Amino acid sequence: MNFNINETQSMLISSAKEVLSNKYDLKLINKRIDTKSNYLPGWKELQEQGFMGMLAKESIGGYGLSFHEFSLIMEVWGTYLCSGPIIENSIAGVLTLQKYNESKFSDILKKIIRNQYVITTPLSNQFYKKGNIPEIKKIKNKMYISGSLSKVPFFELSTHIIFIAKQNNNPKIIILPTNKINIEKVIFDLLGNKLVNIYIENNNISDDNFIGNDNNTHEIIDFMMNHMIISKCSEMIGASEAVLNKTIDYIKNREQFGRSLASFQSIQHKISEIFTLISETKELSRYLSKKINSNQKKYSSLLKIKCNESLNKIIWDAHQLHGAIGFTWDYGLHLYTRKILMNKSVLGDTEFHSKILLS
Amino acid sequence: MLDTMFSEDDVIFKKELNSLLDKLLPINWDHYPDETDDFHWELSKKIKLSLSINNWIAPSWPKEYGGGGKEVTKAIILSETMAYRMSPGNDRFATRMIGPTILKYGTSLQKKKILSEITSGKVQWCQGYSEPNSGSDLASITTKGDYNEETETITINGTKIWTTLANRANRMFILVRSLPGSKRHQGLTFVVLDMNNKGITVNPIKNIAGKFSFNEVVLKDVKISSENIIGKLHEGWKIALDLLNFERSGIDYIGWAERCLDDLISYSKKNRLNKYEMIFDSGTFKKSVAILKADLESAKIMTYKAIWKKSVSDDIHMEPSMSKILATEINNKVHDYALEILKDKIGFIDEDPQNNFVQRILNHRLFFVSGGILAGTNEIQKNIIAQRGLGLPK
Repeated sequence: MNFNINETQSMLISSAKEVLSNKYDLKLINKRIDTKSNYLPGWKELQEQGFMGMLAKESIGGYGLSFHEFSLIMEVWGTYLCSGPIIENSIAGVLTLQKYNESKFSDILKKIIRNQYVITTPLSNQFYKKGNIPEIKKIKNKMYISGSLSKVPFFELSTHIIFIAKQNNNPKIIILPTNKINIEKVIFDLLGNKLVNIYIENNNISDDNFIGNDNNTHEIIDFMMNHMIISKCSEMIGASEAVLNKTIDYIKNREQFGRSLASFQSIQHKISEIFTLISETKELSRYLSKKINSNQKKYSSLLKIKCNESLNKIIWDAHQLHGAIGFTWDYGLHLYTRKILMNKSVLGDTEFHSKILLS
Repeated sequence: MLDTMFSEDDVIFKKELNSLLDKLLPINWDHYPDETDDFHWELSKKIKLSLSINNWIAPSWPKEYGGGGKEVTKAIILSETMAYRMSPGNDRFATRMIGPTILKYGTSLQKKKILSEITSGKVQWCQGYSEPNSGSDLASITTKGDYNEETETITINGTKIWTTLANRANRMFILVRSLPGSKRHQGLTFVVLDMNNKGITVNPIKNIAGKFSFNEVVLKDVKISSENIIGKLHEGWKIALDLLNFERSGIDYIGWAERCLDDLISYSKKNRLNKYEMIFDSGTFKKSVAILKADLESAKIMTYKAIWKKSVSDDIHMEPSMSKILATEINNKVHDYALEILKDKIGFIDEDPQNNFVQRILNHRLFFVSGGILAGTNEIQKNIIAQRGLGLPK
């Protein structure tokens, strides 16, 4: 039993903070929502620092970090409201390809690490909503894939997409280049990030496009989902910590009735509750990030439920403590509110995960 | 779910402990341990002696004092498992309060005497902190402990209250005001005493669950020798606070909450919500239970962290307070939800065997009102987190 972060991990967190802390600008995120700009704080910075190879083995040019260490970086990513396909690239891309088909996808893996390829995936939507599964058909010894995929994040930034398809009603995991896929519709999330609905029309595919084999498809899907859920939770926890810090700064500096807001007991109690909720959620997340694998769906469901329910409470309490200033557009608290609200249903809401947890 | 946090050796220990409890506890034992009840008390003594034979009363204490000499994880497992099994015989006043305090502040003679006595399984301790009218303000205590330099004795006069198990205990640790005229945290001394001393009267107080779990203790001219002072004369405040950090992990509440939740799930699988579905099959039930489970596991990990951190470092401020709040609150939440599910059956005592479960949950919920109050109310814990932990102004 050891709850400490070791020296290497502390250094990793510090360097991620150094790379990301000065790069995000709440005004520009506000502007992104207003103008639908492509502002992606943190994304290029992490790419330039070689972070796309975080989870890749050192033998293929990566950093060889553990998933636990990756999740610590995701906390930092969430703190600064960063945006970009980091989870898609690192989990659906590097971690999964490396684990299940390293030799087959060695070229793709190397190119992801060198920032030549970028991976996206609509897996969250497919997994949770159970819809939009493209179909693979065989015609004269050739395979073709057709069908829609909705709410694909960062599609225009990506060179490849990983998704679930079906062949004779059996699930398959497919990786496809994005250049021959048509965009049907563009939508935006609560933070102004672009998502697209796409249509794949009779794209010719081969064995090279299949990840895994007939025996391990379900295992790979679970592996990806478990890791993506914990990564997303780490990101949400980081955002919540930023909310806490912003709130503490505010109440320390704001005076009412001739004294600091922070000196009122009711305010102190509310801050203690927020801090305690974040602390317990973070400990659970950090612990599970060390333990997660493909066969532990209940672990990721447990954490997602905890994040969905606790972090939601934190954000509304933070608004109450901020008073009118937190109600304004320019102050930026609403950006964290939007992030946390939005992520309540990304990768499964509480009802969905309750069924898994109690199955 | 957090089992993987434990080593293989820990898992074996848990298995062996459960086997021992299987032998000692009556079949289908599901009563909250109430050592004021004669049957429970006899059972408690028997279990303590059996734990002692295995050096399990304090598994992480040094062997020279009868401890197990093992990692702190064994102590976590012992407390959590005994709470889950609702077993009497886990004297938290001894093993989780005065014991660790003696290990840290006691003289070698005190260590040998007090710790060895605890691990023998033959004593029961109680805590003399609260006083009438002192409420949550521990520093306001008025019980006098007049020190006589010539005879090297302390004479204690005053009243302690809400003293759990004082009517069973043969040892007490107590905070007294030893420096006449001193204020607040100054001039306090931490002492231990034998409850068989002359001048001690114990008056049981009936609690809302109808049990006599706590007491008023009147001390009149109780004389003890200076050998019973822990630390230095007039410097007991720091020791008293440190003891509270040992007390506040809340690990028992985690065990009780988990047991209640497991039993509720089991009940929901055997009982119908309506003529079409079992309670367990209801989506609302599943969602509520899943949220409780998530809260329980995260509270549990915080209690583990508090105990672990206290075992490796003195630099600990917020963890015991956080874990105490989380553990007591989740225990109440779980029992509240169980009562919500059982609401139509509360208030009637009939011969339906299921009614035992209903009555048990009701009695436990009433008893657990105390969780958020004792060891420093949860509001006091929030003050500690805000002021000592987060640096907000006092």
